[in-house]
Order: sequence, then C-alpha cells, then structure tokens
Amino acid sequence: MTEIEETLCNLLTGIEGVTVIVSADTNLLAELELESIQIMEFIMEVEDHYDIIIAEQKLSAVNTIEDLATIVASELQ
Amino acid sequence: MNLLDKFHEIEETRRGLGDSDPTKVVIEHLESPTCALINGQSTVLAGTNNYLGLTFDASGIAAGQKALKDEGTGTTGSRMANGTYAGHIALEAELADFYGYQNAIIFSTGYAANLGTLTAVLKTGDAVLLDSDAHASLFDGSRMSGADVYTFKHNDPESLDKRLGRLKNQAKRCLVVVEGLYSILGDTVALKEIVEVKDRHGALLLIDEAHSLGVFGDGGRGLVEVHEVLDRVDFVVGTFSKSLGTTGGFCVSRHAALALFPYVSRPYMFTASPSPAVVECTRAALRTLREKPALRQALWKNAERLYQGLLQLGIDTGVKASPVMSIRIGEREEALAAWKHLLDNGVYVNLILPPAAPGGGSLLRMSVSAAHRDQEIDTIIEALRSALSIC
Repeated sequence: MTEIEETLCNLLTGIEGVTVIVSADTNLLAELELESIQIMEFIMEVEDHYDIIIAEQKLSAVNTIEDLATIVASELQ
Repeated sequence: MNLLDKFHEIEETRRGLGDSDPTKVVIEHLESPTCALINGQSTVLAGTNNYLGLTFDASGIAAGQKALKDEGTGTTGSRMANGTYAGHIALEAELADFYGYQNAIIFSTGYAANLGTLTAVLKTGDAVLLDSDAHASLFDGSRMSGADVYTFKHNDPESLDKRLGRLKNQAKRCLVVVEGLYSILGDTVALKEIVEVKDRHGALLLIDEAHSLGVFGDGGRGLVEVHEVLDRVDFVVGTFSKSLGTTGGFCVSRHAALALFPYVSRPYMFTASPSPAVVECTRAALRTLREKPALRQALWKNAERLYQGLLQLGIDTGVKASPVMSIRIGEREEALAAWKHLLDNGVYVNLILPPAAPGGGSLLRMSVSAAHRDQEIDTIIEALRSALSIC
C-alpha cells in the first residue's frame, strides 16, 4: 500500500459502522455497505487530514480506497 | 441485466418493513389539524409540519373557496405563458414586504423553489458548499446546477471557514447553503458565525427557512430575524407547506438579480404555476402569521410541554425545547416496533431510517403544532412511555 492508501484505511477505520479490516482494494459501497452519510463523513475527515477539498463529482468514479488515493494525490500536487 | 433490475433490492427492502411500513399510512379523515382517523382509530398527529395549525383556519378556507369560485381550479400554464394571475403578483409583493426586501419569486412547490433558486444562481465553474445535514432538495438542486459540490461539517463555522479557504479564488464564486431549523433533529443554524465566515471569504449565503418560517423571530421571519442578518444573507428560500399550511415555495433576496430568475430558472419556467386557491390560501395564511403572534407563542408553549415530558421520561433529544424533536433508537427493528406501537396506541410520529437519519441509526421524529391541546401533548408522552418500554 502507498502511504496515502494506508492513511485512508486508518481514517476509514475510525468511521462509526466500519467494523471490518480495510485495504486498498476494499470496495467502499459493496463491501462496507456504508450509508451515503457515512461516506460524506469519511470524505470530510480525509479533506481535513490533508487540508484539501474534493468536489463531489470527482468521487463518482471512486469505488475503492486505491481510487480515492489517486484523487487525493492529484489534489495534493 | 436490464433497466428495471435495480428495483429488486428496493422491493426486498419494502417487504422487510412488513406491516410497519411508514409509507403506507393513510389519513382517512381529519378531525382537526392535530387529530385524524388512521386505521379506523382516532390518532394524535405528532409528525406533521403544521406548526401554526393553519390548515383549518377560517380565513384561509374562505379565501380558497372564493378563489375556486372566481378563478377556477388551476391556471393550466407556466408563469412564462398564461399562468400569472394577479394573486401570484400580489403574493410575491407580500412576501417581499414581509422580509423588507425588493424582490420575491414563488414556485409551485418547496422542492422546486430550491431547485429553481440553486440552478438560477449556480453554473459550471461555480462552487456550492452545503451543510452536511442539508435537505435532499438542496443537494439535488446543487447537483443539477453543474457547480462543484462540496460539504462542510454540520453547523460547524470552522469547518466552513477551512473549506472556503481551500477554494482560494473560487470562494468568491461560492454559494454557502444552510437551513434555519434542521428538520430531523430540530437544531438551529449558527447563523451569525456562518454569515461572518462567508463575508470574510466573499462568498454568498442561501438559507432555507422551510421549517423556521412562522416559528422563529418576533415577526415569524425565521432565523434571519433572530440573528438580525436580513441585510447580510443573500437568498432566503422557504416553503408554503409547513407553517403556512398550503403548497408551494419562494425565494426572497436583497439582490436585484432575483428579478431575472424567471428567465433562467427551469423549475420555474417549465411547470404550471400554483393554482389560484393555493395562492389565496397562502396569502391568507401569511396575513394570519403576521397578525397573530399568539400562534407562535402557543407553538412554543406546546414544544416546552412536550420537552418537559420527554425529560421526565429520561429522554435526551440533544436539543432544548423545539417544535421538532427526535428520539434516537439504535436498531432499525426496534425503531420500527416503537413506531408501530405508537401508531397502534393512537399517536402518529415520523419514522426516520438510514440513510435519512443524520448521525446514523434510526429516529422517531416528533413535531408539535400551535393547535395541539394539552391533553394531546400528554397523550404523546404517555404513548412514548409505553413504546420505549418495549425497546
């Protein structure tokens, strides 16, 4: 896992309702069955951790932690 | 796989609700604004948004009956064609006057008011920053606009401040979106702080006062009046379907641009205008709201009575006495059982299940009306005592 992927996994584990071990290829919706409110909460935690802001439209193609890490990396550049 | 396969999962969810499906409640007969026949049983309504109890107000009914007789059942057209009657213009003028603004525009529903306002103000390249607990209609309108959509932590001015800072130059093309009274948990916006933050970044602010119109402020103008920021908020949207007891919505603004919304707002342009009876009932309700502050006092008296009853039951709703209060129940099955128990015992409340419940879990949402009698409030409390004993 990359450093960003590892950080995202740790942040996700802190979200209420996430009880399984997550990895870079964990599917956020299909495997974790997160509600949209929980996903929103997770994204805001990611934004605050990295001091970035991510438009919702960019998240439509995100299925896994790896996908999200790619977006975070591009926002940090 | 075909286009309709997605409905299989929804059908399974619906079957799982069994006879506790809250979407199947039918109001068979209304006995008053606060009591109805449901499943053949007289039931106290503790889950409407009839805050001032105006749905049976004599002046509103008379105005509606006259409009039906004089102007017929509907306009049959858009405001851009044959759908503007004198009543539409008058209602817009009266709303503008109520807020002390130059301009107002009305829409056929509150949902359309949000879509219509957001899609008029925002375009691709703009940004919109919504409170994470904002209503679905605010998110829908924001997404429809083509603007970049962001959220900030619920009612957290610091979270908003950080995000506006991260937007850099785009902050000046950003619309911040909040509500006055959040309709599920009953908490109110930290408006003064949020106004200060958006001013500092050069952003604009839209506040949806759907649940706070008629409820807050000495004049019933909502949180904008309470926090004395009528001259600093940019757009106020609201609905006719709660305190005013009809259907429709509006936007008012201190900005002259509002007068140009009819030319750009598709939810305004491409739908039939509100019927004459709805317009006249709304005008009458707005007059009553302005002329009878005693209704607001009665509402808050009832909210306090229910709140004290909840405290005696050991229930913490997370807010002080409010016209909207919710009880959090962790497990979905418990919430369904409690809701059904209440209904079987003559009290209707709203059942909020995931993903609609802020903070997760399930909620029993209650709202009070100025029209509730003390005995009805006490009935609600006793039914809750019984329902929660089975959880």
